[in-house]
Amino acid sequence: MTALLASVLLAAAPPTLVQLETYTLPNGLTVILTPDRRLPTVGVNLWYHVGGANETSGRSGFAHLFEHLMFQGSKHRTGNEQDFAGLLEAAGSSDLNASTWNDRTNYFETLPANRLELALWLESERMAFLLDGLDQAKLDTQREVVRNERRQSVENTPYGKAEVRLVELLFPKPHPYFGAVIGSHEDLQAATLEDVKSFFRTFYVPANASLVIAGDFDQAKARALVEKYFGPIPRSPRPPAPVVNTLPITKQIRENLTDDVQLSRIFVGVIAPSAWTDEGVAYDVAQEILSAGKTGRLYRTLVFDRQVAQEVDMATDKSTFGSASEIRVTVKPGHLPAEAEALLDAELEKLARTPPTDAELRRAQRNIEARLYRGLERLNGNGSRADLINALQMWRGDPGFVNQLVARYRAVTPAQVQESARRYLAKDARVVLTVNPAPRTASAQ
Amino acid sequence: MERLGRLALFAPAFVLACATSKPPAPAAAAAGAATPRPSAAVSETGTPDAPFRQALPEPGDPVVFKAPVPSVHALKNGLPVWIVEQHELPLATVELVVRAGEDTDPSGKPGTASFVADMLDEGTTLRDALAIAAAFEDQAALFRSQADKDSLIAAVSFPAASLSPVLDVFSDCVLRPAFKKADLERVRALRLGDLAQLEADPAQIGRTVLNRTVFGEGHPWAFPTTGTVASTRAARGDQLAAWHKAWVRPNNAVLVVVGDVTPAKLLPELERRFGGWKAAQLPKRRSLAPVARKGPRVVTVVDRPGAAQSQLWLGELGLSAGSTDLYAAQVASQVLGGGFKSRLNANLRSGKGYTYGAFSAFDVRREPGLFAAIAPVVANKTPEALQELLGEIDRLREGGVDASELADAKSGLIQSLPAEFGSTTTTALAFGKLVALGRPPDYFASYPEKLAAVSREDVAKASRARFDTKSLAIVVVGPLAELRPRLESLGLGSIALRDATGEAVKATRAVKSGKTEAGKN
Repeated sequence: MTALLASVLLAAAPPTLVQLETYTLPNGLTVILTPDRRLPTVGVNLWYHVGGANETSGRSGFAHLFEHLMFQGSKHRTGNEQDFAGLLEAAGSSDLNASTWNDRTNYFETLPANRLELALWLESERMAFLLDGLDQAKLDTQREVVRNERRQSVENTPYGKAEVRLVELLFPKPHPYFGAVIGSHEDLQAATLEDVKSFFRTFYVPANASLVIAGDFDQAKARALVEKYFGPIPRSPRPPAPVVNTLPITKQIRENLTDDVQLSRIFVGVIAPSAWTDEGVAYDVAQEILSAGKTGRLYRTLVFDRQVAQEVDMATDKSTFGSASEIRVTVKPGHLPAEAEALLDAELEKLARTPPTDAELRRAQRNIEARLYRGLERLNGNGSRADLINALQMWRGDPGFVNQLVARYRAVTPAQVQESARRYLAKDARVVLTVNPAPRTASAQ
Repeated sequence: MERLGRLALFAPAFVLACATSKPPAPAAAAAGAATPRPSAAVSETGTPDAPFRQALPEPGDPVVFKAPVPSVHALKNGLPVWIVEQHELPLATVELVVRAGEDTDPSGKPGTASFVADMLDEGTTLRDALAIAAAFEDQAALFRSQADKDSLIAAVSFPAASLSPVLDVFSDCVLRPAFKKADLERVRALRLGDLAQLEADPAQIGRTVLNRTVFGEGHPWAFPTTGTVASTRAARGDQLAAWHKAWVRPNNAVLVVVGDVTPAKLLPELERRFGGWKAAQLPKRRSLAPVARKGPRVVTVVDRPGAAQSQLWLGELGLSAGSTDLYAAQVASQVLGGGFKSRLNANLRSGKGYTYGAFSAFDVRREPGLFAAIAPVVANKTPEALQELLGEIDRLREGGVDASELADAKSGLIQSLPAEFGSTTTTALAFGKLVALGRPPDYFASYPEKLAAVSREDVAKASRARFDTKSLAIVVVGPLAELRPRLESLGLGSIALRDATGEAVKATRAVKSGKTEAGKN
């Protein structure tokens, strides 16, 4: 594999980047093996196709709370998260974590190559035996932990509340993305043990999951271990996909917030193409041209030339029912948000009106490609090789799409970039949320 | 391209100060924590139980991991070059590590090294800032530069085929920054904006105030890396150029190169670009002896009226690379708060639910750096959480660690070592850290052995020497009005108010500033 990869950056036509073996167990679990022997480590990365989008009304934040409960022990290890995580840490884990987003929840750990079986034991243990070890006290503790996570990442972090509000404005109720994945204190408080059981039975079934094993392992032995640990878990029906109607934004939505921050920040949100669709490829290139590095148009104009902004960035959360894409402009002291917004408007308008130059497009494509390689270089964890493969399995139904990505990005034309900007970044399609500093009773300086 | 924060199980991104320290790795207890229940034959999901599910699987054949050892070369001007060849991927990283950071900021001019680092890609005598950005980004090269407590790092990561054009620009940036007026003013304004933002972030406030408290007024590490508003306003181009000329010298630096390169091809390329760079006598270094805290212990509070959480930052002067108890003390801290499984996290998170995560770590430097124990906790449990933190530190001091904690901490640290070398960037960071600390290039090869040799007695001794809650600095960033009477009743010392930069606040101003009057409870 790596020898093949090595030639990629030089090759005119991209060859196979990543070697994959994909198959499905009779119970519906998708298994993807991708060997990479640079280091004597092995990564296990398990995606469940469930996230905030699958929550019921009054239970915002539940998918993520549930993720925490997946560490709270099971039938054969009844201790709490300290025990589960401790097993892996003592074995030499790196990249040990889990994360929840709109449509998926992932669990991952990287271990020394001789501990693959430990990781498979643990992942199958919680897939098959979680409820046999769960109780009210474990739920209550994690509820508090998660509420503290909310306090830390939303309430007690500069601009944290705005990030949540932006999602609400992009996806108004009853859209399941409303309220952001973290949910509300009230809903977290309301979650019951019965909710946990029903969520587990519905969504944490083999047919709703895909397992990537990446790194230094023997494929035949790995297949046998997967069969041993996951094969006996019975098949259950795949949960029905949520029925979601994402309404386009047709008239600009504006709102102002005050928060305990020092500098004003403008959040411009739009609904970008859904995850890994063909339209998303051109949008990624448009985003790159606007926002990447110091040559990106937004940095160049707002930070460098006109010097009205402290920083500018743009990011898109690839999701099933429309991807929240946001541009964040932090306004420099002595300048008004309106100045920055006018310049931002002009840049977005320019890209919608005129295609990018060939040189600009080529630079964007090269940087996207290099970022892909840097992602593949990382074995496991969010945004890594294992994670990308699982993402493509979920959204394209084809992990092998990883080997087409370079060609797809290279095929994007200036006209497609312009059209993507015109369509998705239109003025009327935007949410503009401006955060201003709350008046201070006593300044620090 | 996806950035809006995912919600993770926990946030291991606890980095005290330096860019290179790995998120604290493991501590753990593998066996014994759980007793299997009397087992039903079939699980709730209908999965049949089986004997192989009841015990943990044994490890397979031992993994042989030989940590990379760079080949060491020198250019004609004496600049050492460490090369780690990784040919599996067509990527490379070049990192220049200069052994001078905040520690060499001139007295009264904190932020000098960091300002220089920011200016490296903002214009040279040959290229302007836009030309530099375009040259890097056309090659898909990522450049970054920053100073930390005792080093300045400039690094570029790029497709290996672009070696030559990337080195042209990289060498220009590090050797010939121009510090032109217009660029300086532009960057100065950005740095002032950064400083303003530090003052609104409770975690940053905790870090700033703890550093100031532990290292003491006037110490170069008492300030944020960026410096202060006053020092940033006062910085002049000629002073930055003088710092660069004094410290950025081949006899005070090492070039680390990792990736798809060979010495035979690389060294002539380096010679061509760095060969004319001259060694010079280095200036005398400042004393880094900490300024002793005087008087009885106080609880330092930064008021954040109405905050939902308090940031607890406890700290003390810690380890240097040459500390004789280095490994023992690190193992002790690992058990205390190093991994997800740790005493602090087990107590404050998994046990009591006060926090999303509690951690501790040593920031090891050439001279003693910071030890810190940190927890953001729900505001109304601040006193209880503070007591638990102190209690855990006392317990470690008095009782050391037990045999299984020791074994798990050591095993975790040793066996996770390969992860340091997972990419050219992380590998360069790992070796760059060796340079900064003055460690030999084969350090990682002998690291497992040194760590394995740590005994329970060593840890007990280090714990007694290193952790003393009677002298620990305590910083609370939280809602003062609600907390004051409860913190006072802990009897830890009187409350000393500081602002977000660590400046002492006069009592009258504090009353005016918050809702102190309303908060009588």
